[in-house]
Amino acid sequence: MKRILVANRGEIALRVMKACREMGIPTVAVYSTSDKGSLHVQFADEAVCIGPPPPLESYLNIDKILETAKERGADAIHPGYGFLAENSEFARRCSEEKITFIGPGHEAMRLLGNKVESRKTMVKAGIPVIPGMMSAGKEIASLCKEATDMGLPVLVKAAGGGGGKGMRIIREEKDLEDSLSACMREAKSAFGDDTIYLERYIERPRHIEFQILADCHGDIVHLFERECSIQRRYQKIVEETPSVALSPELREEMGSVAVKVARTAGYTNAGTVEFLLDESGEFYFLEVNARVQVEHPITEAVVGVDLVKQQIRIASGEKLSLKQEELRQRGHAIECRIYAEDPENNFLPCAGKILYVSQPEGPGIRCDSGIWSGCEVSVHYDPILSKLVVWDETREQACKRMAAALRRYAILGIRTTTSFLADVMEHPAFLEGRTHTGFIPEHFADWKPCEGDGPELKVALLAAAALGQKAPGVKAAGPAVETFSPWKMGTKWRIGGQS
Amino acid sequence: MDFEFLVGEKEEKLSVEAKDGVWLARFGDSEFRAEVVTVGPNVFWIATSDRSFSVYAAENEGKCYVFVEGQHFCIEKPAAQTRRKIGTGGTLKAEEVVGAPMPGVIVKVPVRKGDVVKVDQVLVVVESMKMENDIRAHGEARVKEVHVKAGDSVNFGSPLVELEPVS
Repeated sequence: MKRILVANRGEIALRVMKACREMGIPTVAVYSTSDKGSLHVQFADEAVCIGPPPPLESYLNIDKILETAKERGADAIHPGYGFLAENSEFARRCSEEKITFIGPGHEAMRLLGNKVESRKTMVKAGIPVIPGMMSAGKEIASLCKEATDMGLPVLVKAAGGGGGKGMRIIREEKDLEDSLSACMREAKSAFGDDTIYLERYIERPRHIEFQILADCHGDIVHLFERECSIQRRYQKIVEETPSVALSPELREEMGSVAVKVARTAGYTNAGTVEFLLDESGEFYFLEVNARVQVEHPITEAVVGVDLVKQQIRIASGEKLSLKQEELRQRGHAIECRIYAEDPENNFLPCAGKILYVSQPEGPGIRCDSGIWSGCEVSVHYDPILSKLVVWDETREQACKRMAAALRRYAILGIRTTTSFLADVMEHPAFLEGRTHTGFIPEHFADWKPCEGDGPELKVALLAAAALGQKAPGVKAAGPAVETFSPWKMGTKWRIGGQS
Repeated sequence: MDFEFLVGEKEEKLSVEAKDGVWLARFGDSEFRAEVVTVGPNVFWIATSDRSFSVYAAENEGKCYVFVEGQHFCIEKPAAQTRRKIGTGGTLKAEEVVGAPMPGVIVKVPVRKGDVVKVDQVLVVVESMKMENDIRAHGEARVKEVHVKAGDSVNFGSPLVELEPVS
């Protein structure tokens, strides 16, 4: 690969570009007008503005992105996650234009992108799935009937989507029509397709997923599980690996099913096979995420593999050098997603200006971030700001390391999830590993940041008084400002030249 | 020098006096000495007699955001804050303009002028950042005016509906 265009923004664009730089491959960034000067634009070797902020006119504009790739001589495109990552039409257009799409082939992606078709295929291959509809629909009346026949509660999902968008659980018959139409609207606006389907809702499940890597020569390995049970609005916010719920036998069984799923779908490149694990230990195939996942860094930490570099190598036709029997999990890793959301107010997104950021650093801490002091969080994009990832020898130590890192993470100007997540890390039920997808509603429904009776408030007030130096007696640290600096004088001067 | 701040709903008073490079501060019933050092435009090092703190602070639109030991504070001058208008028992005591909590597009307005709404009843559905968000009534009230319709774009704080007390 000579040059890679990264068709994304924020932390993931930056993550991909860092891998490219280390591999010696130049990168092309694309950006919307509101992202001018953002971190991925600064980092790339070249950057091209592709349109105004609304995604349809920029990050989802297939024609414009392909045109940019050709213009700048990019022979490969990395889509990151979200936007065009799981758009099979985009993958097909790339191959038509002889541009390598760094991800699965468009046929496998189309099959897996259609949740109903992929369910049917997996049932045929003997993969366990959740009982539910075998065909999607968009007629409210017939969907209502399906739901009552199946028995409530049911889960409504967008046939063309993922990531929790357009997903709703319906427990009561009177809510059926409203919830179904809301789900269809969300599906339409998020994925351009309002087809939805229903499946039985499983109470208190764990969300377990397996990372797989598949090369173009028929070799497939799994890189073990990630548990992503801590969710709000059916979207993950904390992920960890290994999962406390898997015995070595169950891990091996689920891992081999994950590989079978990938093989059945004719899948190549990096992907994630998602399962629900119920309280009795039964597991059900949910779907395949045909992309690099938001939470991929925890697998990298525990297995010791760079997944983005693997993606690039696989896409350029290399054989997998990893052998299943040589892969091991070492230690424990946790990721917390830092969102521009208000955890006190039902995780409502908070757009606005970030005035100041100070990110935690230290042994075993990785912060994949797309924000900086002074950036604007736009209403047009997903509210993810950054991902804090820690690794430590044991789960207990990893929880402590994460809580401590979160409590050093300062983001001023907007509401974020940092304090909330620190409290999750210290909650007894989390520490005991009693996690399920309803964990947040069960334990954190009325969460408020703890106020404490410590000295923090008075110290904060002192800082407020000192800010802007309106108060007397604030000392400035560091070297005194040079009054006669040559940089500040209007006269001509030269550096080190002969005079 | 005296300062009056609002932290959440609570008024806090702080007075400070500089002496020999150290602040003598009075907060509530306590008096204490503090050394306040500006490390950078948004970074302070504050030392009291028994502890020292690394503090981040920034100001925007009359609000001061401060981070101390894992706690984020939003500190306002009292006049800048709008009083909450909800009485006890979940009924609205005075007229209230419900503003958009975020910029976005109106999906649905399930209430009409003259409707009486209950606590937590959905007034407006706003789509923002690809999610639908329900804007609910804080208390029982009557809808005095509806300012938006489906499809409208709204900015942060744009008036959505006006509510008035029921009786």
